[in-house]
Amino acid sequence: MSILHSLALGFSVSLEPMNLAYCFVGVLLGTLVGVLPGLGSAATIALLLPVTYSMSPTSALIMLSGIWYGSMYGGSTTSILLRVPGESASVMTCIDGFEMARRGRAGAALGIAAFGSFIAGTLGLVGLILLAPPLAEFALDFGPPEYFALTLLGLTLVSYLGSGTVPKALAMAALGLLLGTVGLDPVRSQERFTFGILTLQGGLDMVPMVMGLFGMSQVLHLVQTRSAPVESVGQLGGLLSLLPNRREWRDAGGAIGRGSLIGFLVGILPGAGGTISSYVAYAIEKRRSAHPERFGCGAIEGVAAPESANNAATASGFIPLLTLGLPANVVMALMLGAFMLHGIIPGPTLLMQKPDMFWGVITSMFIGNLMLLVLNLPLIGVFVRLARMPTAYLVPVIAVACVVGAYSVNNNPVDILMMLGFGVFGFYAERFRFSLAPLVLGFVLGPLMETSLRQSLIISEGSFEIFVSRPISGVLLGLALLMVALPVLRRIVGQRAPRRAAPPLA
Amino acid sequence: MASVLSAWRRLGRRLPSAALVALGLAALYKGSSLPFGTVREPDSGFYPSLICVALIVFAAVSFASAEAPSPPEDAPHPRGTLRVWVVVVALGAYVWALVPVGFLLCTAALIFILLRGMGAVAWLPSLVLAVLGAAACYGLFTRLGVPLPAGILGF
Repeated sequence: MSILHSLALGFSVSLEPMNLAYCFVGVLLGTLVGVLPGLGSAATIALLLPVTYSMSPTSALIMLSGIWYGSMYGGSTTSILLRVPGESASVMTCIDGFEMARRGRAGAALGIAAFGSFIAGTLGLVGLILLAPPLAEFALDFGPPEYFALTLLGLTLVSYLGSGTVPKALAMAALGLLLGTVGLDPVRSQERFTFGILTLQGGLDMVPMVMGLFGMSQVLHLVQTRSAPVESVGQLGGLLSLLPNRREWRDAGGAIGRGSLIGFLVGILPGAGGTISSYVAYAIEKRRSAHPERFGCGAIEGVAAPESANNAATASGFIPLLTLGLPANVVMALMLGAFMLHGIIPGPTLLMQKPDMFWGVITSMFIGNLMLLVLNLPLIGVFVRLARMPTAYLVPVIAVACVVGAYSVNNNPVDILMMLGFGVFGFYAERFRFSLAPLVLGFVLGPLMETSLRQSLIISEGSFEIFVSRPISGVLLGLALLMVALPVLRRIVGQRAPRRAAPPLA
Repeated sequence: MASVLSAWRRLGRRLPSAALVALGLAALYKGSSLPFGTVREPDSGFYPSLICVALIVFAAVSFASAEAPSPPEDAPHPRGTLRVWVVVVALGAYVWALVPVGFLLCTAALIFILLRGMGAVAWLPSLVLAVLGAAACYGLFTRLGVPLPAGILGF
């Protein structure tokens, strides 16, 4: 099937009235989530997972994707006007965006953020469309050793790029893998760690777990902290004030292009996502600028580059999930969970078995990007008012959504207890800088990792050589080992360097 | 006194890593009853044992190299920890009372505690929002097909 045929099939799915409605709900919720500093896209997707039970898988994925890329749009509004990044991927936008707003160019900053996001999101989707089918075809040749090496690399990369130290992140990934073993063994159906409890035979439910880790822990965090007063800049003009002038377009054009490319490439890497890509794009833009001193003082490139990068990264983040079945970040892990709730395993065969879903979700992102552009510019005033909403009102909303969502999984109050337990665990884990992303990724990837490891060993009759003798798995394992060894090597080099530099004793 | 306090704090920072090591050891012990198989034909206990060893090793390394905690991004509330545990206890009580008392009353009480407990909302608005919020939730989720417990109110 040619790309044009595929796109036509995709648009015929995404333009169905029901899917259009879910796309709109997704991008609207995403924008609100991006605007509200107390709620992240991962928490919102976790909260909405139970709602998707009653929806068709395609509609569910269209809505959840909308939340993901919509949050990137919303995050820029409060970053520029209030210096409050609604999403971590918008932190870099605060620096020059708020400075521009202070100097009376708030409209131009918001405009370039919205247009840059739209252009980058669209370019990212073009990249996704061009890259996903050949990659899926290539991945059809992957056997168990390649999958084992891929999951291992994914977990080490996420651990390396997360917050906290690498050993802590790797310990959390191992804990996630261990939690993934609860229930029946995927190969021989032997009970493991069920303690005789019947409901544990099917394994730990993902929904109460992620709702607790991301939703309830956020409630506890909001309850524990005192919300800081929000600094705001002057009033915005009409819609026309959002249009950057010719000089601003000229300055920002290159930054949008470079940000899109950087965001796309960084977004494919497991663990990187929108936040890292926005940092990299900002740093590169500043380094290559003829006037780096303007950065931090309201340079429009400082808004255009990170905003373009985080939107391009959201599109490319789908590539590993849709083609290899591997989530590149925690939001994609939740998307994988959404696929699994509907009995679908994403991976190289998805494109062949469910082309309508594959292309329907991708083309819905074009429509969603357009909706966001139309939605964001006129509603900026409303979003700013929402961002000033006291967290006291947000807390009961998230808490009740967590409670009802967990209960609705099996109509059993015990699931609320499980959600609460994971909430308390997540709250204290974050306080001690144990990152939650590797845990969720480990939990989701665990069964695939175990099956591929055991199958590989059966094929090779117990020889571990199978993992290094095949070129793809060898390279992937080498990279994973390098990721684990890098902090150790850095420490050794760091300890030696000062010794060499020390002046000789008299 | 100050050195004792800082040693106590250092120990506190290492406690989560120690708990993970203990969890790994307990899981390794529990998993030892599962059939291990051989490397040629790994059985149910093979993979969990590897994972437990990895958990113990990484948690032990993080125990040995516990870093200083980074300053929190938001200023903590003076009674932050107490507020956290009030919410946890309230939710525990919610689970216990949900089926016998019913969704509407329990959820209204929970919303009221969360609004009033945060100290930002006055008594009357908290009460009104709690009743309206619980009723709206009940209406929305029963329409979505989630059978919420009716309890003593009977609906």
